[in-house]
Amino acid sequence: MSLLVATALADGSAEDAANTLAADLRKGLGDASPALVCVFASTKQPLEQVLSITSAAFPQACVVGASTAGEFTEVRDAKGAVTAFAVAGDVVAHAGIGTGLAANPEAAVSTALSSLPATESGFPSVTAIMLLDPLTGSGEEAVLIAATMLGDGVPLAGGAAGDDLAMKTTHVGVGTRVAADAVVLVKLFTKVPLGVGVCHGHRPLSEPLTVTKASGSVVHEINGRPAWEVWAEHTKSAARKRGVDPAGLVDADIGGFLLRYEAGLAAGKDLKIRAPLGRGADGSLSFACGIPQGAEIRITESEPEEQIDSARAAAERARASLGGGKVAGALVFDCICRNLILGDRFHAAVNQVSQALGDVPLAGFETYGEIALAAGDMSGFHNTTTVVLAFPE
Amino acid sequence: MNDPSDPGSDAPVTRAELVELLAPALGETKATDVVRQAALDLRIPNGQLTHQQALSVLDKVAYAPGLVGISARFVKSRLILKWGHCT
Repeated sequence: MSLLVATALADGSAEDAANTLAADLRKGLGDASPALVCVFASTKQPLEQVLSITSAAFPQACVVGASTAGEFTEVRDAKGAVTAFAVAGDVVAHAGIGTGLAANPEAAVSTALSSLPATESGFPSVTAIMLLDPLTGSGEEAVLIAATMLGDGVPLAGGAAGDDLAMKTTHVGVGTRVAADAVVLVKLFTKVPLGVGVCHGHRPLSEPLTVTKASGSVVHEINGRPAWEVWAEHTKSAARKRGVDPAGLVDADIGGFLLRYEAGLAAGKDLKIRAPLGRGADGSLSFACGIPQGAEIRITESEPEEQIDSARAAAERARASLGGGKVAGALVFDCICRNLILGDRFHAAVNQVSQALGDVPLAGFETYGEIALAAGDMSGFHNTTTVVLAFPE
Repeated sequence: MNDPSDPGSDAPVTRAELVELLAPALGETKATDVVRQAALDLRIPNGQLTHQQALSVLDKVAYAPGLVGISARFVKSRLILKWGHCT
């Protein structure tokens, strides 16, 4: 037996949605018992309730989850819903959770990994799935620490939890335990390697700008001026074409606006995208990971076509890393800003992912950050990016 | 250009190659700055670095708080795995 994937999406109360998902996953898997079940729930369905019901429905499975900013499967995308992914067959899964991510990312990641076995006899390939609270501002830090602890041979994929753009509290969980300020790590042991693909579709909007005052994940000043002031100035022209005046934005609209105009960190030929998540009263901007003082950034933007093309490219890369073989299904971690850019066309991007993988089932959520780190990569936390974790048939 | 991650290679490493390894997480400007400052503090002359010197530079950067230090520790761990030795 190889791998079998089932996906589902449901609306309604947490209880109704979780029960519907469990029934649909059972239908999709037939007689097979899942080793891993992932549930991604909007703020309308508290993750604690959804995970509790799902864990009871699949007592033999490793059940993990995250709160979201949007949910989708190969069939449809939604807001205010829950999506689920299950994989059965030649796979063994173990998961752990660590808290206190903001204060001590090393300790949180170490705790999450502490109970996970290093090996599973007969399953030589290991892949890690990571879910974390991005409002801690420790996204890249946690990924690099996990990659250091896991070693070079363990690719990482995953996503940062969302909260429907409220930017207040995001949750991740394992089994019946759900927490904010936390990180979840899953070790997946398989007979053959899984495929990871990643791609973003942003391009520079501004000239290079220097972060002149920063502390951890908060950028206070750019080019010696309050960060937001610089952001508003450089995005004004592009935003006005969309009928938006940055100077007139109220706090409730800032999160969505910033996710359209993210920072690009110069890294070789490409830009590493970094998402500003909020504006402070002093005009500072807070990010999902550390931005070092002295870093050179560009403000970026993206057009819808570029977002659709990059989603397909991520899927093609994931499939290529499987050697081009048949795919059973995929987990997809897609930045919420892609949904903001694509609007009604968001599902076109999801369709491109499914088609590029061979019209397979997939499930995922709209994230506040994406995680992908393969052998040889020197960074693993992304923004405005599609990450595809493909499971071979 | 040498590949500092080439397994078994004892070829010297340039500062630019160390910067390249740190840049994906820190950006090129910051990566250049921390490598230059660490080499200066360690009185390592301009030019190519031995593996030991390169790891010493990363050790020095690794003391920095937050993402800078974490990135340096990550890069160092990867290079030790590739090179098969440590300082």
